[in-house]
Amino acid sequence: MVEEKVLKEKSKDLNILESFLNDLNEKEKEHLLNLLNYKETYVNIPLKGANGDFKNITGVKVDNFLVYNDTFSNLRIHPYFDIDYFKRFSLLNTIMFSLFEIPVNGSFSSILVDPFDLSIEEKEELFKMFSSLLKNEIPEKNYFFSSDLNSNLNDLKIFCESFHYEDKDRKRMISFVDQYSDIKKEIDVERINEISTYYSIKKFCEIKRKNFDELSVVVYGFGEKPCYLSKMLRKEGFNIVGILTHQGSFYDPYGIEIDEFYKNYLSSSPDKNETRYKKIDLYTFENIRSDITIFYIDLFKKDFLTNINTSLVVEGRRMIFTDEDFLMMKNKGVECLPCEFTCSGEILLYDELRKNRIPKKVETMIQKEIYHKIDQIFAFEGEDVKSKIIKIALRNILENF
Amino acid sequence: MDILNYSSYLEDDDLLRVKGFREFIDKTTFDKDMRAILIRPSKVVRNSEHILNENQKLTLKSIFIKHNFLNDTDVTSLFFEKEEDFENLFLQSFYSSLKYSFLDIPFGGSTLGLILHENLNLYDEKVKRKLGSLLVKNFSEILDEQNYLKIKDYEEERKDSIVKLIENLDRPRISKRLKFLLKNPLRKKIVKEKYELIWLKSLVKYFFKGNRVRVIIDTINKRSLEFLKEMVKDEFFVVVGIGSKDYSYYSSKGIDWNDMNIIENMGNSQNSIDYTDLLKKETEIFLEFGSNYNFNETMSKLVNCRIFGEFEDLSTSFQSIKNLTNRKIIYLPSLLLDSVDQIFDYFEIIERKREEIMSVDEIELRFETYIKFVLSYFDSFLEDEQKVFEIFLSRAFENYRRKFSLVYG
Repeated sequence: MVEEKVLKEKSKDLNILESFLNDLNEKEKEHLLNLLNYKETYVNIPLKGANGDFKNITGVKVDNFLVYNDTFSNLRIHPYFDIDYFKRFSLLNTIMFSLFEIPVNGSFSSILVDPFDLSIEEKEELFKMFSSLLKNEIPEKNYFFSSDLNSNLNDLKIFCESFHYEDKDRKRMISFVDQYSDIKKEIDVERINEISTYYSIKKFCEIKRKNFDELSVVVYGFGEKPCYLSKMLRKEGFNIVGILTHQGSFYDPYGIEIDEFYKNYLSSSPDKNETRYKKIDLYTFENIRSDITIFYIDLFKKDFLTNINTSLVVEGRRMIFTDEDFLMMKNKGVECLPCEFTCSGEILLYDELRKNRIPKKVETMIQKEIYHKIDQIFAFEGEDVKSKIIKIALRNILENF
Repeated sequence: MDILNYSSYLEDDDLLRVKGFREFIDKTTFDKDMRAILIRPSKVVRNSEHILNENQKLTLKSIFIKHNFLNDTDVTSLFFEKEEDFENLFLQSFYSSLKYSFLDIPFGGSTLGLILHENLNLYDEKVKRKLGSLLVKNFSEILDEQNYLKIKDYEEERKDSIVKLIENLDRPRISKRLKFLLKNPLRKKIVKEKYELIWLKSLVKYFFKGNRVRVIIDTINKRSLEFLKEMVKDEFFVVVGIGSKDYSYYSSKGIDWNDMNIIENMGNSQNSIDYTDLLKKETEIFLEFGSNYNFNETMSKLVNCRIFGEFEDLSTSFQSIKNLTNRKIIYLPSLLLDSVDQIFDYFEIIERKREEIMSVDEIELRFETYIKFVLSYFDSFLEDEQKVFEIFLSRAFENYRRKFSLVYG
């Protein structure tokens, strides 16, 4: 489902950078200023439809930092355009990699079209055109594309294969797809960020010495990914009490059985007779008391976080919260697990592939890295998790320099 | 949606707002899709670099615009700008593409604008380093073996500094390649203005059957003065006046070498004249060398000439062109008059491919072929003398239609 246009103003620069620069020497300052460097590439893709008419579609790629040889980009297919949002997204990727001490530039790519307006053939043609127009960009650096809204591994496969490089340059365009057959025996790569989200939540609860069986969870947004995560949490004993879907908000204080819910409420042939879970209005839903609230959709009300009644907010995918949102949560005393942890699964796996390694147990590798990083965050002096993450990431960039 | 503050980028109906092209394009047989593809850039790359100057964060930017993906070879013009003007940079690449297309030269236009804030000094080491970095980041766009880079002639002083910058890049491979792209032995051995004068003379003779023509030149700048020097040598042209808003010179018997010194120094003499009076003087040809819509609507109502020649792209507003047409003045667009540079681009690439220097005789012979081609094209298709612009556009666009059909069927 295509999301509603995000209208909220996103803050433009990395504010914390300004205060961080004060104690540094000239060279270090200059190096960190590279974080504000962006390369924006816009391509115009004329796409011939089945009826012979042309659609003009714009593709955008924004690279941040551009210091390292490797670049990681999420590919989105969505009509929403806001260059500041795209810049923040690419900067976020740089920060995420830096947090885990991986020297990779962050990037973000988007094809500005509603994918549901395209046939499969048009979509394939679009990927081919986009890649051919980006071809000059790639040979200078190693590139990796990962999925984002409305794109999946199959799309990425078509996209990456359309570059038509010679073998030596082909290596520069690496993707999960190339190693997919090796990895898929153990893990579904499409759900890799849900694994990192799961372990982030688990580790956080362990640090706070909380018993999983006593914890209630509310999930905002319910596609395949949140469904997968909810199943993992349910299996561990967490109690999923509320789910917000595009068909309404559902609540059961005794816990929702995910498989059954997915089958009866969201599948293409729902059993309409099944009315076990109570459908409630949004106002009541947002006031449900829960221990953990996981967001997979953008906040659609400005004062949403002021009303929410929870102890821990989890950012299920990138760029859901703004700096103001994090500040509001901090003032309210709500803890937050930002996407730097929850979406780290794909970057950790990418780091292994980058080093020509395929871990024997991907899940164990992710768990180990996240546990180590969360321990480090909690040991680090500072006010809130988000500020600590940025400070550690900036420090790592300087250490790499 | 507003990409790059370029309001005419998205909506198909809005695309045709690009500087009044709508009227001319509507007269061609182009469908909506073709127009939309031609009047928007295929690729835009923006880069930024930051430096700390006395604890103040200053930004250097570059913007690369490739007009069209239908061309195998692109010729990139390098510009320096104080402020980012996306539309101007796009139109420069667009105009360049149209010129190649009209002349059947298989190239497309692209532009690389380096945007330097007024507070930044081009000779400052930090600035030089960051500019070098911007060039490296744009290198992939102009890397292709087929492509070619040139710096606008009027940027002489900055051209030297950018060449030095390229020589000192810390990436030897890129430095070597950029230096190669910038090499232009052909232009070093010829005087471009001489060929521009031959080009102008041939076109003027097509419309004006006489032994001598009177000329007034608008705007005093480096290019117009160089052109004036060539014109003074030629007996066909009698330059009776030259002027800008702040200084004008008129001599009814014709400007000669003795006057040149006074004009260059903008010195006072009995021939100095009010600018408005100069515009009103009767002449056969009025040549415009200004930029940025220098020739405005008022001027188009004042000039008293038979042929108006535009030598600099984007110097005449579309309303002014309409005024000239209503007054039955023949309008020779810069797309036609200022295309000698594009012909030389082609010669230089031929030289490079053949790996041998082209002789002056060969240059002249090849150049003459282009003149003959334009005149014979006019013979066949120019039914109304006042429709040079329209006929130019329809040929340039028709060539794009063919390229487009090859790709899309």
